[in-house]
Amino acid sequence: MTSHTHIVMDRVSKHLRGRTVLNNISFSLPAGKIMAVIGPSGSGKSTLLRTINRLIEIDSGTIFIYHTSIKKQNPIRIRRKIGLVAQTPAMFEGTVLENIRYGLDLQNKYSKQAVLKALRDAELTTEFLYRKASNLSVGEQQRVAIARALALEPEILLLDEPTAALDSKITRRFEATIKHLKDVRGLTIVWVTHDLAQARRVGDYVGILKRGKLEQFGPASKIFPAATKDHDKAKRGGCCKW
Amino acid sequence: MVEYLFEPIDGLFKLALTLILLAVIILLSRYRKLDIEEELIVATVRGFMQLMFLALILTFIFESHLVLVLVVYGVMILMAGYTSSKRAKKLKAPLELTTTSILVGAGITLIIMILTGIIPLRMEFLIPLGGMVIGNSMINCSLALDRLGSDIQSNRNKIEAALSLGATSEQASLPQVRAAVRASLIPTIDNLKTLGIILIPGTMTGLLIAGADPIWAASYQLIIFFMILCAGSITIITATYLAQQKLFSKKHQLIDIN
Repeated sequence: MTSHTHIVMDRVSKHLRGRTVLNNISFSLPAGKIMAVIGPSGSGKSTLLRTINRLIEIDSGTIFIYHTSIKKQNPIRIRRKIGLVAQTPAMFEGTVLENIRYGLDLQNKYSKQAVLKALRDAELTTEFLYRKASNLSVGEQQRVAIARALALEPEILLLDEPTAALDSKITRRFEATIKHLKDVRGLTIVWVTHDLAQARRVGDYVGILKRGKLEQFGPASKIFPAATKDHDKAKRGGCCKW
Repeated sequence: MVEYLFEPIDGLFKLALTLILLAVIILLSRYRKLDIEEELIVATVRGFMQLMFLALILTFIFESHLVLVLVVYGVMILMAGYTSSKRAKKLKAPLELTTTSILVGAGITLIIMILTGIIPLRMEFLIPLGGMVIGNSMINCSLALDRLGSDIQSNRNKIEAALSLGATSEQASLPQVRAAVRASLIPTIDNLKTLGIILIPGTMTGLLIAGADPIWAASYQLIIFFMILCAGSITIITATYLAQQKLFSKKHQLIDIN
């Protein structure tokens, strides 16, 4: 189903208010892999993520998804194939069920099975369905946000520092959930983080972004060689100083 | 035609008498060190000048050709659009947006009222009623755009979440538009609800003072309220629709308004 799905950026640049936010970025991410994007705040990570589902328009270069430039595709249709989970989960008014079925309702495709499958994959139980989404903990809301995206059966998942507001135990559980989803659903994932250790744990590929430039990109094994597996050593090795 | 209660000269004399009362208040303020004398004097002089100037213009307009009403409406709508546009600074070309919205809202309502004969084709009806409708549409427009601008800004993450799930810009910003429409219509709706209980509104008061039949005065007041409500609603719907077009790109992207 997803063998052809991958993301290619070819010399992508974006300027905002006279500042270069993305500077000539190129990479190619194979289908069914997780790319961890790391970099300090303000390095352009969130902007990079939002150019993929075309929430932000790029100034130059091309982004290919399914081997076709996203500029040639309908932005609404493309977003239905790409789930985005933000740092702070933005819950809509109403219950968890109303949140999860939102995207399905937009396409008149609501079915209880789809909701239950998404709920299960996000590791939430049915007792959550009728709870008010805004009353949940941040960790639970983040899972609702995942379920909301999964309900549309996306092929790509964009995660914008999804564990920034979670404690370490919940973060580890979240990482396991996402890795499991990648395996069972064959998702291609771009995961933005500022946590080097997390990038090493989750990334099949790693991109290092500094001041809008993709300084390094490659398989995690090359970016984090075995000798520098230790966090501090990796930093000393100069791969990720910020 | 109702008989004038005041002759013009007699009216000015009575005005002078009320000014004596005002002078007493100013003296009292000075004595009690309330520090409002200057503002009271400035406000009184300004109000006096403005209203007298308006009276002079109206005297001229009432005796002019009916076509002049279009010029007056044009000036009123432009002024209303300009005032309202200050509330919509976050949008591109706000003057164009507010003026168009008020023109559509007040324009449609006034045309229907004039064509159906509810507003007689006489200057003394056309000018004040037109002013009332345009002025209220301006307030509705300002309230709606002010609310919409701040709600969209504070709910960027929710809007972005909806867009990411494949919502169009209209669908994604529907909760904010709905809140803006409700918030801007609430003052008019509340006024309508409490009509006659809390206060006797201006037009009815004026008609009653002028000796009109209370039923007729009440009916006319209601017509004016419905006119204001209709014009305001059309203005708000137009303004929020146009604002949505400015806040989002054609590719359903929320434009950076910071």
